[in-house]
Amino acid sequence: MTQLRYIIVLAFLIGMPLVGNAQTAVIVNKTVPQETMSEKDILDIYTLNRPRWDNGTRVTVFDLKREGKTKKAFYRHIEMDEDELRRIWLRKQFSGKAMPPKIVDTEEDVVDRVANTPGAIGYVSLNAARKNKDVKVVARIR
Amino acid sequence: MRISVRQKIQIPIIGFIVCLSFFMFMYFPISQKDALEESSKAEVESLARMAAHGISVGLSYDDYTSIRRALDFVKTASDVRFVALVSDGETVAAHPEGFEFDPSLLDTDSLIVAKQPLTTELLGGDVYVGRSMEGIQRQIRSTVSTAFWVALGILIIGIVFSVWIARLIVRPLRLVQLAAIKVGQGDLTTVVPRKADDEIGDLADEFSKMVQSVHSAQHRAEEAYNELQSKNEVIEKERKNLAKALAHLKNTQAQLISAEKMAALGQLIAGIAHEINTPLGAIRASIGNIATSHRQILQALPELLEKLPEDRRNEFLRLIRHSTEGKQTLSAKEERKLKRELIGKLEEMDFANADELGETLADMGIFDDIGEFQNLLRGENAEFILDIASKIALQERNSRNINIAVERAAKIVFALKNYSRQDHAEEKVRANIADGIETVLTLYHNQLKHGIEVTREYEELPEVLCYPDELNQVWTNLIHNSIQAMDNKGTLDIQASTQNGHIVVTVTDSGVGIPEDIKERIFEPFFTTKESGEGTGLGLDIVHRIVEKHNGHIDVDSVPGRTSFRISIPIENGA
Repeated sequence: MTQLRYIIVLAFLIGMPLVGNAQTAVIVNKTVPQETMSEKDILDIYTLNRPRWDNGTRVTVFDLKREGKTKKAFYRHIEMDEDELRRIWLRKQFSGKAMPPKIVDTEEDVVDRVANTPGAIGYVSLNAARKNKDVKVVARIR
Repeated sequence: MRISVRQKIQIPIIGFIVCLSFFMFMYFPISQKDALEESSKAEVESLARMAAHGISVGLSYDDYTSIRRALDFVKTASDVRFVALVSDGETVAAHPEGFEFDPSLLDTDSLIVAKQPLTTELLGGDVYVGRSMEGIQRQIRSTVSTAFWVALGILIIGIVFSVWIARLIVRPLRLVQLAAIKVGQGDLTTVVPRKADDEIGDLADEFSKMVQSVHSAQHRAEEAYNELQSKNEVIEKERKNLAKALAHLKNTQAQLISAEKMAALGQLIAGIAHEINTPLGAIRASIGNIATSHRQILQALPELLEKLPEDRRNEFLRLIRHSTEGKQTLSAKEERKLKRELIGKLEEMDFANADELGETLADMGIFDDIGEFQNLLRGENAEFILDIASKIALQERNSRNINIAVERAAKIVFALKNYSRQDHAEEKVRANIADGIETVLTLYHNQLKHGIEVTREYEELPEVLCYPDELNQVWTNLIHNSIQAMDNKGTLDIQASTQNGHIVVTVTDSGVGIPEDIKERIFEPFFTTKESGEGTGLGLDIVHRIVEKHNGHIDVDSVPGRTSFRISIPIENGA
C-alpha cells in the first residue's frame, strides 16, 4: 500500500510540470510490452514499418481525425507531414504488409479504443490519457 | 465409279460427322476464346473500378480498412499481376511492392490492363489493374482439349454408328442379292428369310414371291414356248409362201413395167410404121410411074427419032434438063399462080393451044424461059415431042421423089437405131441429152406433125454420164403423156440448159393439166387417169425410177393449159 502510494506521488510529481503546458502523450494498450518509446520507435510504428510488438502482439495504429494542438504536436514530434504519412499508409495498404491505421474523431475515443484494443497505440493530450488507467503513456511530447 | 449402298450410307453420315467434329473442334474454342477475353476484360475493369472506389472512399473518409479490404479483394482475384496507383506518370503505390507501372504494359499481349481514374483531396491519378492471360489461355487450352476429345468421341461414335447402320441395311440386302444370284443361276426354289420387319423385309418377301411366280411362269412359258414353236413352223411355212408370192408379184411388176415400155414402144412403132409406109408408098407410086412412062418412051422412041429434026435435038435435051433441074417443091396454090402466068405468056406468044401447052409445061415444072424452046414448041409434031419430053422428065422427077422418100425412111431407121443403141447397157456412158430428145422427137414426128407445134430451146450441153436408153424412155414417156394431154393439138415446148452442175430439161405442154388433188399421186405405180386398158399407170413411175437412178430430181408444175415437167440430172452423177 505504501509502495503504491509512492508510485502515485512520484507519477504526480513527474506529471505536474506538464499539465500546465498541455502536453501530448503517446499511449499504448497495457498489453504492449514496451514502457517507453523513442521518437524513432514512434515513427517506425506510425510509418507502419513495425507490424508487431516484441511479444508478437499485432500493432494497431490510431490517428486523430481533427486538426488540433495535440495532433500538430505529435506530427511535429515525428517530423512528418500529414499528407506524406497518409501516402505512406496508402502504399502500405497496397503492399498489404501492415494493418491499416484507424482514424477516430476524438481524443476520448482514442483513449477508449487504445484501452480496449490489444497492441494498440495512439496519441492524446496527457490529461485525456490520465482519465483511463488501462492505457500506458510511453512518451510525452512537449 | 461404282459406289456401293454401304458407301452411300456411310459416306454422308461420316461426312456429316467429320464436319460436326471439325466444327466442334474449331468453332467452339475460337468463340470461347473471344467470350473469355471479353468477360475477363470486363472483370478486370470491374476490379479496377472496385480498387479505385475503395481507395477513393478510404482516402475521403480516412478509412484505411476499406482501402485494405478493397485492395485485398482485387489482389486475390485470380491471375491479377499488379495493382498500381499512378499519379502524374509516377507510381505512387503498387502491388507487388516495388512495381513500377509502365504505359507499355497496356499493349502487352499477355496482359489485360484496366484503368480507372481516381480523384481525392489527397491525390488524383489512375488505378491500373493488370491481369495475366494465363488463366484464359489455360481455359482455352482446356476447352480445346475438351473440344478435341468430344469431337473425337463424336467421330468414333459416328463411324461406329454409320458402320452399324450400313450393316443393318446392307446385310439383309446382301441376302436378297445372294438369293438373286442363285435364282440367276437357275435355282428357282430359293427363298429369302425375312430378317427384319421393314422395307427390306418386304423386299425379301416380295422377292421370294416373285421367284415363286417366276418359277410357275417358267412352267407356263415352257408350255407356251412349245406352242409357239409349233406356231412358228406354221408361220415359217406361211412366210415362205408369202416370199414366193412376193417374188411372183415382183416378177409381175417387172413384167408390167416391161409391158408399159412395150406398150409405149408399140404405139411408137405404129407411128413409125406409118411414117415408113408413107415413103414406101411414094416409092411404089414413083416406080409405077417410071415403069409406065419407060414403056411408053420405048414404044415411041423410033417415031421420035424419025420426027425429031436433028437441029431440034439439042433444044429437046435442054427442055428435059430444064424440066429436071430441081426447082423447089411448090405448094398447089403457088403452082396454080405460076401456071396462070405461064399460060398468059404463051397466049402472048400466039400459041393456039396455049392452055394445053401450059398444062403440060407446068406438069414438067417449066414456068419460065419458054422463049428458048419456041422453035421446038412451034415446030411440026410439037405435041408428040413435048409428050415424050414430059414422060422423060417425069421419070427423073419420080427418081428424085424416091430418093427423098428413101432419105426420109433412112432418117427414121437411124432414129430407131439411136433409140436403143445399147441393148441393156450395164455401164453408164457419156451421151448428149439433146440428141436423145431429138431421137424421140423424130420417132414421134408422125404424131406431132398434125396439129402440134414443137419448139426447142437447147443450150450447148456437156455430155452426161448416163444410161442413154433409159433417159430416152423418160423423154418418150413425157412426150407421150404431153401428146395425150393435149389431145394431139397444141404446143410442146422443150428446153434444155445447164444449171449449177445439172442438166435441166423442161417439157412443157399446153394440155389440160394435172388436177391439184392427184398431183401428189402421179408418180405412184399403177396410178392412171386414162381409160382402163389405155395405160398401165407405170409411165411416170418409170420416169421417176430412172431419174432417181441418175441421182436426178423431177418437179411438176401444172395449171390448165400449161404443164411443165422439169427434170434435172447432175452432170457428174456418181461417175
